[in-house]
Amino acid sequence: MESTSSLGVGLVFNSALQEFVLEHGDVFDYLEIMPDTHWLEMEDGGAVVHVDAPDSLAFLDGLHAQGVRMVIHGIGLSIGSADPLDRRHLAHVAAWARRYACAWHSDHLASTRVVDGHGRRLDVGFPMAVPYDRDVLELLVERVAEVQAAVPGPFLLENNVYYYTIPEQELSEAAFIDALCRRTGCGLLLDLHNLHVNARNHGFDPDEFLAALDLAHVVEIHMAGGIEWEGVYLDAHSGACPPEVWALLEEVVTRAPRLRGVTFEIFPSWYPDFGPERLRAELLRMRDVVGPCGREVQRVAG
Amino acid sequence: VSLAEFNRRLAMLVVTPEVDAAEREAWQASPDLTERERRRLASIADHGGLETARVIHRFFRANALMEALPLSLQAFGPGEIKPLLAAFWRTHAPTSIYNHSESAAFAAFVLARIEAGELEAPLLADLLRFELAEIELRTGRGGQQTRGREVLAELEDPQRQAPIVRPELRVVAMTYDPGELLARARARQELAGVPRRLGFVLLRAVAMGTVVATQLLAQLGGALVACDGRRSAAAVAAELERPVEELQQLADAGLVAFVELPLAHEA
Repeated sequence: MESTSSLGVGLVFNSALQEFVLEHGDVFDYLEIMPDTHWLEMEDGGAVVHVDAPDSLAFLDGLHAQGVRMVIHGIGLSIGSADPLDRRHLAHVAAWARRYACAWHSDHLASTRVVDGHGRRLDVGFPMAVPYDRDVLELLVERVAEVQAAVPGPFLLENNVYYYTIPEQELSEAAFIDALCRRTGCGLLLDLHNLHVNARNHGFDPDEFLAALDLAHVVEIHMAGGIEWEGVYLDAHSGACPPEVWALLEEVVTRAPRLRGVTFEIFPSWYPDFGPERLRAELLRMRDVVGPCGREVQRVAG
Repeated sequence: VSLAEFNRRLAMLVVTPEVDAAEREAWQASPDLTERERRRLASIADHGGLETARVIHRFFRANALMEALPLSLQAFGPGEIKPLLAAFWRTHAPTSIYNHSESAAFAAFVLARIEAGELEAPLLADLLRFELAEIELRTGRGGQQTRGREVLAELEDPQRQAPIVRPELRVVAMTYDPGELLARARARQELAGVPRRLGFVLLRAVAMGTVVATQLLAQLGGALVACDGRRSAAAVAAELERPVEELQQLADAGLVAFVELPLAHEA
């Protein structure tokens, strides 16, 4: 392990933010990188393989050389699928975790890919929540252990956003997450905007969710903004965090003893309208809230 | 096993535009689903949030295509892309929506529509051929190799895709001035007004994932015919009244071959 470093406020990196990242390094403490979005799908002797996009790699290598800290947030693990985990995917994530000495890596508590009846892969493109049942919990305990063995550094899972509900679940979302974290030692990436979206669309009190959750599992928090669309509030990552999400953040930071970072997310398609000044303002406000909470973390050896 | 089948059926609910009676019957007939999972699928199918999930799926899928085909997107007419996407999605499962296999399949799908005369879009065809060749090179997708006259035969049909000269090379024939069309598309400028002028672009994969485009001499077709492999570069250059260096560019790309005979012997 390398020397310890303190992490505070982070920004999810995407290609639209290259200029911002280079010019406004004073307002974030780390970048959250999504390896899958920087991979190219190649054909090698008939087999499909993923290789690093050279332009992305060069840019990130440059940042790393300048001392910019990074953590990993994947979208392609599909840990909630019942199909075998993609070991090549895990090995690739592990290589990135080592390359950039990431303090942790995370993915979604969800299923994004399945194998259809013809043996073909189906990629839904966004994380679908898993049923919170005991047999699913058992399956996930095994799969989390497989991830932890394959990729260096602490592993976190993110609570999901959902627009439909799965009836007759055996456990509440909070109980499921707690049990999974407790049994595997994985951390929680608590997405407060996901919580806000779910609470608003499905009519529950987010404070009750937080009260039921053991916040000692929270290592990272995600912040984002959304939009109203045809009567549904969407997790659009479209800009400023709504007031309700700021209120949730202020509540959680004082009750999450292992919290290491609070990360802002914005999709590349929204950034041109949002602009650098407002992005700076969001990050500075996050720092005001979480600044005193930055704590020591261990970095993965490079 | 049961969760795998449930996840698969749930994914199908999201990626297909509607749930038909046959799908509901399939849930009932599937021995791999539990009664509870059947009830769950029925409940989700009737839940208003499912349509939101479908919209998000389509948004991400369309967005990935737009990022992979930025030049071609400039050439779609108003309202033209939506029905094409819908038609493409009806016949192509989302196997890997964030990767270039889907983008290449969509480009080929639209080119086939243009070739069949279902869509009148020559500017779009040029840009799709260019970006499709670029994707193929970036992602190392192979194919049958062609040379010289075969390349010409393919290039003479403007609807054909870029012939494969060597695995790391493609030649793209464009019916509109390639330099101006590509420059305007990259700058997101109005494409109308680009002069109609046959031109050729050589695409070359110089490193893994990196492709360089070079405009080839406009007389490429004539050069391919003249270079029959039995004469020297100097002889052909003299016949075409072109510099030898231009022909050497074609030879370096593997498009043509020369026999180095003294000029006196050829005469």
